[in-house]
Parts: sequence; C-alpha cells; structure tokens
Amino acid sequence: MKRFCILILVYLSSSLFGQNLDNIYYKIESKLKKDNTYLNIHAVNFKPEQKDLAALSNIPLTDGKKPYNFKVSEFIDYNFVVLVEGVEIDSMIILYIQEVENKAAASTEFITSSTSEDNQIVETMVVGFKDLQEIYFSEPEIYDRLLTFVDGILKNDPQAKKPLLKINVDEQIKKSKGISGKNNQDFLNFQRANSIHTYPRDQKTSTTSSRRRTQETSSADYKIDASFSHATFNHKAMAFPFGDISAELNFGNKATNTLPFESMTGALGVRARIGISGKTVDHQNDFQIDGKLMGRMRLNTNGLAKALPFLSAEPRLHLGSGFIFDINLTRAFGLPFINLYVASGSKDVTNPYVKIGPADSSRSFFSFTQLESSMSFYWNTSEDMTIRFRLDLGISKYDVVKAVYHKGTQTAMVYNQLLPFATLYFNFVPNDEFFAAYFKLYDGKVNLGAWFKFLQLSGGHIFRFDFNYVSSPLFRQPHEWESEGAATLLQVRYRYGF
Amino acid sequence: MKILLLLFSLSSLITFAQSEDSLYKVNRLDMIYRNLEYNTTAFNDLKKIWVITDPVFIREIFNRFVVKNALTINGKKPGLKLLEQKAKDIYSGDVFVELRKRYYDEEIEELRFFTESNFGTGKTIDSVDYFFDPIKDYIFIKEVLGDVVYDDIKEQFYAFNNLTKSYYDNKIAYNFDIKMNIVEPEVMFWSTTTNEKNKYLVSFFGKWGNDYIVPGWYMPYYVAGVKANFIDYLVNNSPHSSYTLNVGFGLPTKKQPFIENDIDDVGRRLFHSGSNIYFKVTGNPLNMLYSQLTDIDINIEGSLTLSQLKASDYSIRYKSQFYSTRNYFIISAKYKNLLKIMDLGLLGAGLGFSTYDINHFLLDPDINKLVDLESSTKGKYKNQIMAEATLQHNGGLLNHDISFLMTYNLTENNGYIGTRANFMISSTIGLDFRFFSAYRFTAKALPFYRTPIYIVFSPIIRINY
Repeated sequence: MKRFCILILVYLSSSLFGQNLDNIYYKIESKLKKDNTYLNIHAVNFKPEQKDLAALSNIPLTDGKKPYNFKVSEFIDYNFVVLVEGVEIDSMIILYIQEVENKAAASTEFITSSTSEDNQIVETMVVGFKDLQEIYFSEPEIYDRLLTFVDGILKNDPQAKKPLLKINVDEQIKKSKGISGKNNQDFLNFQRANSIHTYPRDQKTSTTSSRRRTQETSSADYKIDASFSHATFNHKAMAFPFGDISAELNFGNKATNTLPFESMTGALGVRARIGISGKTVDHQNDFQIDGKLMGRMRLNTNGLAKALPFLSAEPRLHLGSGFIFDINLTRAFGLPFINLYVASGSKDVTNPYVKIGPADSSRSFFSFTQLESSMSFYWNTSEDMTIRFRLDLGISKYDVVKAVYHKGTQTAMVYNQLLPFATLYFNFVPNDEFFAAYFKLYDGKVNLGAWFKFLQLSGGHIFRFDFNYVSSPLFRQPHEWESEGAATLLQVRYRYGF
Repeated sequence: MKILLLLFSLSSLITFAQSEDSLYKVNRLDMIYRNLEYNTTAFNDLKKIWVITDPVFIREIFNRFVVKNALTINGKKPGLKLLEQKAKDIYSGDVFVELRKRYYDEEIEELRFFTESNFGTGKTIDSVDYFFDPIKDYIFIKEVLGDVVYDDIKEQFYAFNNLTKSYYDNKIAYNFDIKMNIVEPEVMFWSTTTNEKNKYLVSFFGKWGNDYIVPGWYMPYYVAGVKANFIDYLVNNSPHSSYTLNVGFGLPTKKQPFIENDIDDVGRRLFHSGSNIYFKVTGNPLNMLYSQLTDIDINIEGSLTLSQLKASDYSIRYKSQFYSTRNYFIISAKYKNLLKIMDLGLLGAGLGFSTYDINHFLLDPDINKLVDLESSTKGKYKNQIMAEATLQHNGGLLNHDISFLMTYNLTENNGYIGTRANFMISSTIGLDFRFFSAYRFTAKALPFYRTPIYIVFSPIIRINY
C-alpha cells in the first residue's frame, strides 16, 4: 500500500515538473528578450562560410518548427549569445542564436555605396533558448557540435566575444565615504574650477559624464580670466610640456581679512606652474610647483572703494609696497598639499591715503608683512566627483604698525600675531564647473565667497557672478584699523579659453 | 488486480524515470535563470530595501499574483485550498511585501510576501519567509503586476517602511584624518605602512587643559605640538595595539571662554607664568612581558615650565597676585576591554596618580621678577589619585566614548567627580562634553585656584579620507 502511494505521488509530480519546465522556459526567454541592461551574457559574432555549413545545418527546433539552416551571405552574420560564467556553471552555455542582417546594404548593393548611417540592421532570433536547451537534453551531439564551433571561434579570436551587459560596473563602483585622490587629481580639479590661471586638462579617456566634460581641451590661442579686481592672461606660446606661465594683475591680498581695493594696493607679476617630471610628463602624478612672484605697489583706492556701487568696504589698513611670493606645492613624500604666502616690502609710513582721528592726533595703520602657510586636504563625496571639498588648515599672521602724524611721525608696532585659520571650499560640478563657495574663519572674522556660472557663450566665453564677504569681528571688538561693519564685493568674472 | 497493479507499477517506473529527467532539466534551467543577471550578492545588504505596509495595496499585489498563478511554495504552485488559507493572513493584515532594488539600477530585484510573525524569527532563513517563495526577476514581477502597478511600487507612492541599511565605518589611517575639536584638535597629515600590517601616523595636535589636573579652557595655556602614532597591527575599526608620543609647547591663551579674563576678577583662577613643554607617551608595553596583556594602556604625561615671565610681560601697572600651575606629571593605566555590555560598548577601567604644582605669585610692576608668595609647609606640589571607568563603542551610526572620572587630592583632602563624554555620529560630527564637580571631606573651602564646577564642551567635526 505504501509503495502504491509513493508511485501515485511520483506519477502526479511528473505533471508538475512539466508545468514548471514550461514556466521556467517562459521566464528565461522573457528575461533574455526584455532585460536589456543587466544580463551578464556575451555575444559571439561570426560570419559563416560554405565550409561551416556542414556543422551548422539542420538544427532541430521545438514547437513544430522546421530545422534551421545557417545561411552564407555577405550581408548576414550570426551572434551566438552565451552564458560564459556563473555560480555552479562549469562550461559555457549557448542561450540563443541570432541572425543579423544588414538589409540596407543588401538592397543598395548594386545601386550605390552605403554608409554606416544608412545601414538597417535587423536582428532575428533564429534558434531560441528553448530550442537550444531541448537540443542539449535530447540531442547532445548536435549541441556539442555547436559548442565546439563557438569554442573554435573564440580560440581564433578571443575578441569575438562582446559583453551584452549594459551597466558599467567600473563606473558605478561606490565607496562608503567617497574618495580622496592620492595624486594631483583633486588639486587640478579644484584649480581648474576656481583658479584665475590655467591648468592642464586630463589626457586620460574616461566615460563618466562629469569627468568627460572636464577633459575638453581648449583650442583658444590665449586665455583670459578677468573681473573688476583681477586679470590674468596666458598665451599658448607661454605653455610648455612641463608647465605654463601667465601674467596677473590683482588688487587683492591674502592674510589680512580685506577685500580687493580695501587694502589699497595693486600687484602685477607672473605665475608659473612647473611639473617636475621624468622623461614623460604626467600632470596627475608629477610633483607640481605652482607659484607666483608679484610686485606690489600702494594704490589709492580709497575713493574707488567708496564710490563703487558693487563694493562695500571702508579701507583703513595700508599694505606696503613690496613683493608677493605665493606658492602651492602638490603632495611630496606623502605630505598634504602645502601652500605658502609671503608678502613684504618697504616700511614707508609717509603719505597715507586714509587718516583716522582729528588733525592733531591723526593716525594711520600699515601692514608691511603678511605670512600664510597652510595644508590643503581634498575629498569628493562620490567617485563622480560632482561634489568636491577642500579644507585648508594653517597659520597666518600680519603685522600692524600705527603711525601718528602729530609733531612729526611716531610709529609703533601694535599688532603682530600668529593665528590659526581654516577655510572650507565647496565645489559643485554636475557636468562642468557650475558653483563654488568657501567659508574661512580667521582672526575672529568670517570670510565668505561664492561664484556661479550664469552664461556660457559659444567660443569659450564664460561669465560668472562672484561674491565675497568679510564679516565684522565675531568674538571681539574691532581693532582700530578695522571697519566696524562687514565688507562685500559683488562682481562679474569673465573667462575665455579655459 | 495483480496485472493491473503490475501495469500501473511499470507505467509509474517510466514516469519516475521521466520525473528524474525533468528534475535534471528543471535544475539546469533554474541554474541558468539564476545566473543570467550580473551577480551583486556582495551588496545584498546595501541595496534599497523597503516594506509595503498599505493593506489595500498589498491585497492588490497579492491578487495579481494569484490571478497569474505566479506564486510558488518550495518551487510548487499552491492549490486553491492553500491559497485560501494564506489569504486569511492577508485579510487580517498580517502580511507585508518586502522589496529590494537592484544595486546598479532602479528595477526591483526581489519581491517577497512575509508575515510579520515570521519576520526576524528563527523561521526566517537568509531573509526568506516560507509564506511564498520570493520572486527574483523584475521582468517576471512586471509581467505579473503590469506596468502601472510595477511603476507605482518603484515610485513608492504608498505607505511603506524603508529598511535600507546605511553603511557607516570608522576606519583609521586614511590619507588624512582631521579632528576639529576646540579642546583636542588633531590633523593627521602623514602616514606610512610597513611590513604590510603596521602603520606610522604623524599629526599636529592641540590640547587645552588636562582632565586630571585642570580641564579644558580653565588651563591658561594651550598645548600645540606633534604626535607620532605607531599602530602595530591594523584591523578593521580599532588598532590592535598602538603607541603614541606627543611633544608640544604651551601657548598662553588670552581668552578663556565663559571666564572673565580680568586679572583681578575671581572668574579666572590660573595664569600662565612661563614657557612650557608638554609630553605624553601612551602604549602597551606590558604585552612585551606577557602577551596576554594586550588591552592595558600605560600613559605617562607631563608638562614642564622652563622659564618664568617677568612682571613687565603682563602689562599690568598695579600690584596684583595670581596662581599658576607650572608643572604636572601623570601616570595612569587603563584596561580598555574589561567586558562588553550588550550594544553599549566595551567597559574599561583605569587608575592613576598625578602631581602638579600651584604657585602663588605677587606681580609688582616695580619689581621685575615675580615674587613667590607660597608659604605652606606642604610645599607647592599636590598629589592626587584617580579612578576611571570608561564605556566605549566604535563603528555603526553612533560612536561614543564615555568616562566616569574621580580624583582625590591627597594633599588638600578634596577631589573632583565627573564625566567626559564624546559622541560621534557616523564618525563625522559629534560633541565633546566634560563636567566635573568638586567634593571635599573637610570643612575647609576649596583652594582659590579651584572652581566648584568645571564645564567644557566642544563640537567635533571629523574628516578622514
């Protein structure tokens, strides 16, 4: 009785297997047909010749279809779609066979020559998944013949196997915390977006949209970056394989919490970027020295600062004539990016542009030396590098000399402090450079700045709104040489050739 | 009858052979089906996962699977009776739908019905509930549900609970590690690995105050210096054993937050009186003696004042007096891993001894040198013992390092009890908070240089890549 029951169960279950088999065939064929992006399968392309037909004739098909015979034609080739690897798969599996016919070429063969744009490719599944699997199950010798044939193609030409996987897993690699480059990539990305000077574009071919845009090379003979407070110029004759040189005019100064024109100087000089490389130039990995040497001269911009509608500042601190040496170094010996800034020069207190107080005790304030040294740390929130950060941590100092003009001139050093500062930069680069902002905390004041691109004309003309703000002191009373209110500057920045 | 039975047996044997054949075919086809998609098993726990909780929408989804006869239990189609029985759970609102998206695109990789009572219990094996077999093919799911319902599910326009796991890590020794904290900032700017397992790190560090002596900004100088850290064996989130050496110098602080800085105001109790150097050595030398002692850190720390300021350095034009701590020395030991208290972290315990000096100076503008007013027979040095319990948890969304600290000053018969707590969210942003309250066993008031309560706090931002 027990045996009888078992036999009945087996008998019943056989119909279930048949049912499942059809279901699985349906699901797989559906998936092969519709899931166009995620399938880890390959197409092995070949064009049959007459001699191949013996192995490729009379391929039996299921569901009452006539056996399939491969065709030899100039306009027809075939794709063996195969599953090469997978869990528990020990040998290649042929999934289906596709006939690929170039109909346009066939129809115009005797009329005119066709271009690739004219081609009309028609792909037809001639031997389906179910057909091939049934061959595998019922006529293994035919399946083996086909498999041997595909193996032969791949032995002769391993490149004949093309992946049909459309997702680019190399591009979509995600890391838990974004990335920070160990080479110059982040430095160059940052400088390309923000610097007023030119930096080399990547030579590598990449496929992500954000990176691809940054790799466009400019064809302009010269490059200009100009705003009301600065101008730079670079001609292609000033570019060398190991670096480039450009000229700069600037009305701003570092290390004093002042806006351009507020410090009443103008500086003119050259900037050079030099890559220390071996026989081949590699901007990504070569040690880069990016420095500028400028002559600074006092300039009476007091009236200008008060008259300009887009500048709100009250100049009080004179910076002396002299030189500016500003240098950025990329990573050496595993250290972070290092920045140095030195400005110094003549200690002349005669002829101040701004005097404070009544005539019998009028005084002016001068800063003759400014120093700044920092380390830069870069990171990106993802591999796309759409959102980029930079943090500068360092120390800065400036001296302040007070000159009292009453019965001669008396001078005294009233301030000479070394203070830490931190600057956080943010860059948003969705496709190309679009927006950036920074926040700096130094000597009790907050410096804010931002730019965004509002116009890009054909031919490489780019316009940005540029905004800078220096707050009044947050945690202390203002010094005598500081204005009590905040200072702001809003201007348009023009770039050409970048 | 016997002949009939024989015939039936023969036909059954043939059927059995066919079944074996079918089983083989099903297994092969199933293997192909499972391998068609690009395999992302390694990311299963990081894929977007959510649960539909809208009861009407769940019925809609369930019904479509019933209509298309697309549900299976252990690979087999359920019968009508079983379906009706399962539907009772649906009526009672005990069934939910869990969905998982593919890793590299937005399609639904897996749909499964589960009963709340089975979720997360022993009946759940690798997230598979036997209510029905999970459906693991977006093409099939889409065919069963139809484009409209499928897209609705993807868009999440219904009641749902998001179960997607967020990934947090707390790794050390990246390219750089910046800890912005007013009281204890640190910038790790250089590192190198040797022997493929250990690592040297070099940082700039700052330190304001010392919890065993005078905490935070109550200390009149700020230590800035360089720290070298050696990690002998790099593991996932915390070093197996490490040695650190800190060397720095003191910078007088002009301002102390929340404390009046007028020299004659009671608010500020201690003043800087000379150039000082700071050192700290932390490590685990005991494991060299006995390899099992891997979790005991020995800490030796001190600050020495090498010079003395003159009266003219203070820019004070009138007579005044003040206190200053010029030297201190601490030795302590901490067992980091006494026991693990559930998810609260590792319990640790520490003991230590410290000594520090308190100098009482007269500042007379007419006398260039500071005048020492100390007259106590006990001398300037105060000795104290410390006991500490710590609770530390690393990794995950919330990290914490909490210490309960008690000091007892043997010289003055008083002490402090308090806590320092350091909380970090995702090892990125957090708060450092320290609170210490005085106690004493005598009627004698606290010495002037002490305050009854010390409160120190700072936000923390950590960036490490």
